[in-house]
Amino acid sequence: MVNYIDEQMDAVFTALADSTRRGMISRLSRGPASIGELGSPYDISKPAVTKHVKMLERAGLVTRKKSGRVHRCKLNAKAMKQAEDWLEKHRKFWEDAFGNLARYVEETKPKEEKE
Amino acid sequence: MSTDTGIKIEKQQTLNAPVEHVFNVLTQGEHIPNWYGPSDDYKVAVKEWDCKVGGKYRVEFNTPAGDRHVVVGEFKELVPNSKVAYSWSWADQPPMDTLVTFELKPDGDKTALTFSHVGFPMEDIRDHHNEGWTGSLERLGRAVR
Repeated sequence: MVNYIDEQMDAVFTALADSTRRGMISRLSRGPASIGELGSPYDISKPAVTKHVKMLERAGLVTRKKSGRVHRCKLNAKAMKQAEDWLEKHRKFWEDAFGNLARYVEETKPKEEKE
Repeated sequence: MSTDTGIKIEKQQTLNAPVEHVFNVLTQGEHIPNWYGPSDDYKVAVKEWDCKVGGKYRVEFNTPAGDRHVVVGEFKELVPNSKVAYSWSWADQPPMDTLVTFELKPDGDKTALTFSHVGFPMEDIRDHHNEGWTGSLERLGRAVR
């Protein structure tokens, strides 16, 4: 029924566990960008920017195309959808737990509370 | 940017039980299998529940198909009859650095519960979450009435 574990999700959430990479995703959600544009808000070297982009690529979150001398990066909406689906299951977990909690506390509450 | 991504799921619910009882249910490990988890089909086993600030917990969910998923975390804040907060992560996934908080306020012989789960990685995903929470909140309200 609910499968919380998925190998690709490992790669996705590892990629998203870093605030710089989350910032890059956020930038790409507004449209494609070059590696230089992606790195410009951060005080990090170009190889470090490239490393972050490669992790996003490996997770399937970002695709990279060379046009002339510039690498254009683009968000892969399908992979983002998978991440959303994962979290949808996560949300379902709490929703169900809350339903159980409401029932359980009512069933088990001390009797003398009721007048 | 800090680890707090500013991303938050929030939910409020009135529970038909006094605040002392709700606090006990939230903090005593023996109650956990009775409400934690997706459905009755899952066998929930509390493997560790050291309910003090800095104490760890570990809860296993065994699915009908025979899979086991494990949630782990650490108690961050405990205020009797008022607040419970713990970190929350799947043991076999990269740590997601999320924080679950329950805040309780007495409402006559009922309890006003405010729940939040913060630290999800993506803002658009958070928005997606909130849609679901709003719907389930309405269902919960009906369930306790």
